[in-house]
Amino acid sequence: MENNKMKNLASTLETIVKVVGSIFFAVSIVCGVMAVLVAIFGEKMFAEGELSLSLGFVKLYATDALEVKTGFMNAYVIVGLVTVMIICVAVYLASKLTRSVLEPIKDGRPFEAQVPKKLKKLAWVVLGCGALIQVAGIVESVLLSYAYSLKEIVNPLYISKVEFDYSVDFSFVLVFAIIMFLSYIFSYGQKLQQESDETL
Amino acid sequence: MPIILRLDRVMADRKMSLNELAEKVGVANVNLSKIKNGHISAIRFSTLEAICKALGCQPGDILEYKE
Repeated sequence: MENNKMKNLASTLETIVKVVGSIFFAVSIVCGVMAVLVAIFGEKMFAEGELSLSLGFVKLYATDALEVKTGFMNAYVIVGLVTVMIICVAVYLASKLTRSVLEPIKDGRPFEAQVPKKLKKLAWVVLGCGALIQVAGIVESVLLSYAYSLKEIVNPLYISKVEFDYSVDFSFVLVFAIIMFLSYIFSYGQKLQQESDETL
Repeated sequence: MPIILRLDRVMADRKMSLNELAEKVGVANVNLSKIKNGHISAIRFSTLEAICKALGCQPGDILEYKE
């Protein structure tokens, strides 16, 4: 049964995924190098340079009078860079898995044995990556809150209390469940395909 | 599987080669070889009908149930 639309779409997607994967791999290397540089020169850089703090759509530029704990600031940037690096590597891995899923689809055989296996691996990568992003987000927020004395920045006449609100987004679990579910569908499809191939 | 294909026996009775039968049935001799050697999990009625027609036999002559 010919399905040229599926083949063409899979072929186009494979090319896009290949390019995206290569970009993310390059970004991961850049982030790794930057993390090492920040670990070496970070404290000096934060002590001398201009500091700014983003609060949603508002960006506050600090004067020299504002005391910033450079150690925490340094750790915050390193954690951020390492997280981005790990996520970029994960995206690169996910792109490789996606390509191996798209390859048989491109050839017009979507129910090959490798497809459900690779989809399962992809689901676990999504779960791990999603969890890492959430944990890293919380760690970064904690480090940033230690780096700045936020109570000193805000005017006590207008602001009575400063509280930190850490929220966790669990939507990655839903994506994990959907990909896992897809892998089971493809696994069932593969059995049907095998039965069909063995019927003469 | 307890269902065994006895195509080789019927073919020998009729003195028909694999290539000849494949041509008459209209399937590739590779696929007919799979049927002959039992390397299939199912057979279509249309294929069975064509084989029976070519060999002049009943489906029961080709299929055998063994416990």
